[in-house]
Parts: sequence; structure tokens; C-alpha cells
Amino acid sequence: MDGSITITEGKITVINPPPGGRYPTIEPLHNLTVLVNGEPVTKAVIVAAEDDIRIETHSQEPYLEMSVEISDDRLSAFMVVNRCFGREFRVRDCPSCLQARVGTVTAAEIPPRKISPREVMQLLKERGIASVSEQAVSRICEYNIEGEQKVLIARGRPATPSQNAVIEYTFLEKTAAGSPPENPFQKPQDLSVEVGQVLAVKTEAVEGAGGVDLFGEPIEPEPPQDVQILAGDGVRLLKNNTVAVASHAGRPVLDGRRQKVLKVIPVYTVPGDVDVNLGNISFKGDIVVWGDVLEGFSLKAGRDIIVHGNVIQAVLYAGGNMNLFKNVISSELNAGGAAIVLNRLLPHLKKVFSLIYGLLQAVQVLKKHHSFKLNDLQRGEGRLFQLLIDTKFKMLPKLIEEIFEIINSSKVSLSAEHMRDLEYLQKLTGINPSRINNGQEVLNILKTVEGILQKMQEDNNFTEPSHITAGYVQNSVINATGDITITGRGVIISKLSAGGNININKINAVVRGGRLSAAGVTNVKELGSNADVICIVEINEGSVLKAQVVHPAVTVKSSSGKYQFNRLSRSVKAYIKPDGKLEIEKLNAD
Amino acid sequence: MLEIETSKGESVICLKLSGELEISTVEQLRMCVERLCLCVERLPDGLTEVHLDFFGIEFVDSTGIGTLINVMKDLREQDIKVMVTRIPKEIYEVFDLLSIPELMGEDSFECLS
Repeated sequence: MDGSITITEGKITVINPPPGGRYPTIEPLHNLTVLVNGEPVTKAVIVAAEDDIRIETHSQEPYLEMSVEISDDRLSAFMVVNRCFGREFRVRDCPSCLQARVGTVTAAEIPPRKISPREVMQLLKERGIASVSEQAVSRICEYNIEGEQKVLIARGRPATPSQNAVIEYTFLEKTAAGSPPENPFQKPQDLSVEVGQVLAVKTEAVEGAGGVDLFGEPIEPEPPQDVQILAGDGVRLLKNNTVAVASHAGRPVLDGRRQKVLKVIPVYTVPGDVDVNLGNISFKGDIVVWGDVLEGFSLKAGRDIIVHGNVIQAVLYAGGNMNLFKNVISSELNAGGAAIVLNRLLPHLKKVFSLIYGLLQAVQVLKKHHSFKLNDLQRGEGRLFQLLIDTKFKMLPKLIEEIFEIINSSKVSLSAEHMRDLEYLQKLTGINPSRINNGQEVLNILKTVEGILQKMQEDNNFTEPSHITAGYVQNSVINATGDITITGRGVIISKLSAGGNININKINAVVRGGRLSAAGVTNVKELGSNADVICIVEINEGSVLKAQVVHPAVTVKSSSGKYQFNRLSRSVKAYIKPDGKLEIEKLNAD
Repeated sequence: MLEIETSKGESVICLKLSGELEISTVEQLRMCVERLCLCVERLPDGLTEVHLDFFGIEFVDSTGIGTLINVMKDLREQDIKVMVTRIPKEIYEVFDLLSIPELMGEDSFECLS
């Protein structure tokens, strides 16, 4: 039989075991100290009835902590109070056992001291916080529960935000109200305005009201942003420039890519055909033809051209969009004005710039070379420039020649400023380089080219792309700075060039021969034919060809090579990979 | 100053050039090649190649290089193969800066290593 240990109301009784039995042990837990014969113990120890065993209980002091938290916008202050109650313990009773683990139970809880309103106010004052809520102070002082208490104690006054000026274009609401037309370029017939009609109303900006933060510092609202109605041709501003009205009848437009200028475009309407009775038309606004444009006639519009009938053996130029509802046969369409030429010239000019830069560098290197004599350059450096242009830079005169070929073949004329600047390039063709006196002359040409490039890119940035939509196209040439969309049966043996996308993907739409080139996506339902008609799609970096069906003999061309289909294919996608190589994805259809 | 020494083999004529090929000396080279062309008409059909030995050339200028290109073109027009041989490295560097070997054919230029 073993010995035992019993604890009752803090009194410890140990009974020794009879011979052969085990002695009891005692082990202290928390909040107390066990002393055996005057020595404190920390783990289980064997005790006997003869030992002097005492237990001393500990106690915990109450704890109180106060702090102030300020929000990032300096408009809200919170008082955070952490309360922890103090505690007194007594020894827990332990029935007779061999191994006694001595613990405690809480005998009494002692709350922390009360917080006085003065104390709270003092803390806030130290932080410089004004406008304190008295109600919140009372809540803090009356509260006495253990744990964290977070109370909004003070609040600043936020600023009232300013209201920006707003322009409401009343004619835009007119189009937005109806369901969108199936053809995105089709304009509703009633989109025209009469003289005096209000086109835009400006709501003036309203300044916001100031506020005050927790510390009494003023908060200024963001100043409101003002906008101006930019009035172009056909628009007059009234009421201190807050109302825009039409000064002549026409079609209202918001012109420009970044800054929108409000204009009213005059509209020239032809109720029937453009034929011998009417002759060619050149008009600075829109041209609307309700009949056909017949053989040999041309339309030149500063803005949009809309033809409700057919275009047959005619030439059309539009500074804006072109919407041709029926067929285009043996005709030439150009949408985008001078931007078409600029788009073709830009890559050439960039190469010319880079070559002239290289030319100047090569001259510098040669002049410094110790085996190269400069005796023959005393009367001018022309010989050296001529030699370099005849040898290493022989591409330069060729590119310049191509630039002028593009300009001369284009029926849209460039600005006089562009033409004057481009003429300088002739100094680098033929035997003209031999007449160059020094590098400064060539540097001036380089700067001129840089200026032309800058101006052309700015012009392109500020000009919105012009789109062409036609029902059906046959044996024609189409150039657009924006998208070309064919809404009907498709395209037969025609040349299409788009600065945006080419869409020929309506049900049963086909492309039977010709050449397609788009800076964006060329989206075609069916490409090529069973007959051996030449059909070429040009792909550049960033452009993609997507075709549902491609017939054999269709060719995809890129600067890195070409691919000719040799069997019927479906779900075709062609593009330039990041390494510059042409990639063709397709499924065989036969 | 430019010195030109001519030596004739069975099918090859070699013009050994030394000095400077530049504005004041190019006429010498041109005359020499013109004489050569006149001779060619009297020589048997066996002559098919002219070597321009550049080993002794120390300097060139743009007129000199322009003349060299013209001389090579003239000879080729008469179906005579032209080789510019033993070009000093420094002179070849100048040719290379002007892309002359690329333009006239890399095989026609032999640089001294």
C-alpha cells in the first residue's frame, strides 16, 4: 500500500506508506510557491509526513493603459483603453492521492482604478486635439469591463469637395437614346442641326467648402477643374461661353482625338445620281448621294461621304469616314485625307533618318582614321559624302526616291510645309551630295527629317482614323486610315489597305483574289477560291489574319518571309511571333 | 606619291602599288590601267586577271577610293577579273567602313592578317 497527500483549505496532510509502499509527491502549478523544508520546489518532489511543507499564493495587480489613435486623414481620434483586472488566489483543494499537483483558484477580482474625465481631457490636450465629444468621455470613464475599449473621442470637419465644370453635348444624347444601329458608321438621318440650335451647355465649376482637422488646422478642398467648350467652324458661343449654338445648318461633330472641338459640318446633298448633269463634286463638308456615283466621276469631301446607291468606276476621297451602302465596282476609295500618305511615308522617313544619322557618324569615323587622308576635302566634304552615299549608304537615295514616288502617285496632296521640308532630301540624291560643303549641311537635313517625323506623328495623333464601310467590292482599290468593313457578299479581286482592321466576316462573305493589308486584325470568313486567283494577305508586326476558311494558293506575306497554302484549311490564324518570324496556325479541312 | 610596278605572268598582270592613293596620284593609276587595257587588246586571250597589290599603300583618300572602284568596274566590263591583294589592315579598315568589299565582292579583297 502507498502513502498519500491531501490538501484541504490550504492545509497539507501527508501519510507515509507502510514498508514496501511508495511515498507521495507534490508538484506546484501556477500562481503559487511550494516550500519543502524551507526550499522552494519547481517540479514534482517526494515528501514525507516529517517534512515541513508550506504553500504561498501569489496575487496579480490590476492594469490600465490609455492611448490615442489618429486616422490618416487627421479627421478622427479614437481613445483606446486596455483594462486588465487584478486577482487574488487561494490553494485549490486536493483529495487524498499519491501525486498531488497543487493549483489555485481565483479568490477575488480587483478592477483597475476608474478613469477621470480630467485625465482623458489632459491626454487629448497633450496631443493637441480640440473638439472633443463629452458623451464619449463619459462612456470611457463609466466603462469598467476587462479588455480593449475603442471610442471615437473627437472628430474634425471634412471639406466639401468641389464640383468640376461639365459640358453636356445635347446632340450626342439624341444618338445615345436609340438602339445602336447595326452598322456602326451609319448615321441616323435626323442627325443634323438648324441655325441657332443648342449644341452644348456648360455647367460651371463649384468651389468646395473648407474643413478643419482634429488639430484645428484648415482643410482646403481640391480646386475644381474647369473645361471650355472649344468652338470650331459653324459653332458660336453665348452666355459667357457656357452655351454653344449652331451658326449654320449641318452635322454636329466633336472633332479631334484628345481635345474635342465642336463643329458643325456643312452637308452637300445630291438627291439623285452623280452623273453628267452634275459633274465632279468637291466639298469641304459631308457629301450625301442618294443615287449612284457613275462612271468617270469623282467626289472629294473634307469630311464624310455617304452614298446610298452604287459606286461604279469612280474615285472618292474623304477626309472623314465613307459609308457606301451598295456595290463598289472598279473604283478607288480613299478615306483619311493626307493621313493615308503620311501613314505610308512614316516608315520610309524613319529609315531615312536612321541612315542619315549613320552617314554622319561614318564621316566622323573616317575623318579620324589615321590611314585616311583629308587633302581632297579642303574645298568641301562633298566627295566623301558622295562616296559614302554611293557605297555604304546606297539605300538612302533609293528610299528618298520611293518617298517622292509615294507622294507623286498619291492624289491627296500634302501640306506645303511638309512638301518644302521633304524637298531638302533631294540634296542626298544623284550627284547632289558632291556639292555638300560640310557635315553641318547634312546635320540640318537630319534635323529637318526629325522635325517632319515629329509633325507627322503629331498630325496622326490628333487625327481620328477614317473608316470605310461598303456593301460589296469588286476590282477596286480601297485605302483607309481606320477600319474597312464589308457588310455584304465580300470582295472580288481588289486591293484593300487599312490603318485599323479589315472586317469581311458577315455570313457568306468571301474574298476571291486581291491583296489585303491591315495594321490591326484582318478578319475574313472565306479567303481565296478554287480557281487559281492570286490572293495575298500582308502581315506586319502587330497585325493578325483570322480566317474561317482558306483555299489553296492563298499567300500570307511578311517582312520575314511568306507562306502559301497548299490545301484547304480552316480556323486559320497568322501573325508575327516575338522573334519576328511568321507563324501560321490552321486545321486541315480536307 | 605613288609608285606602280607592273609585272606580267601567263594569265595575270600584277600592279604593285606603293605610297599614297589620293587626289594627286589617282591619275597615275588611271593612266596605268588605261595603258593596260590597250595592251590587253594586243595580248593573247590568256590574260584574264589583274592583281592590284596594295602592300605598299600607306594612305588613301575619298578620291583614291572612288578611283579604285571605277578602275575595278572598268576592268570587269572587259571581262577581266580584278583582285585587290595584300591590303594592309589599316587600309582594309577604311574599305570596310565604306562597305567596299561588300559592294564589290568580298572575294576580290584580300587583307593582310
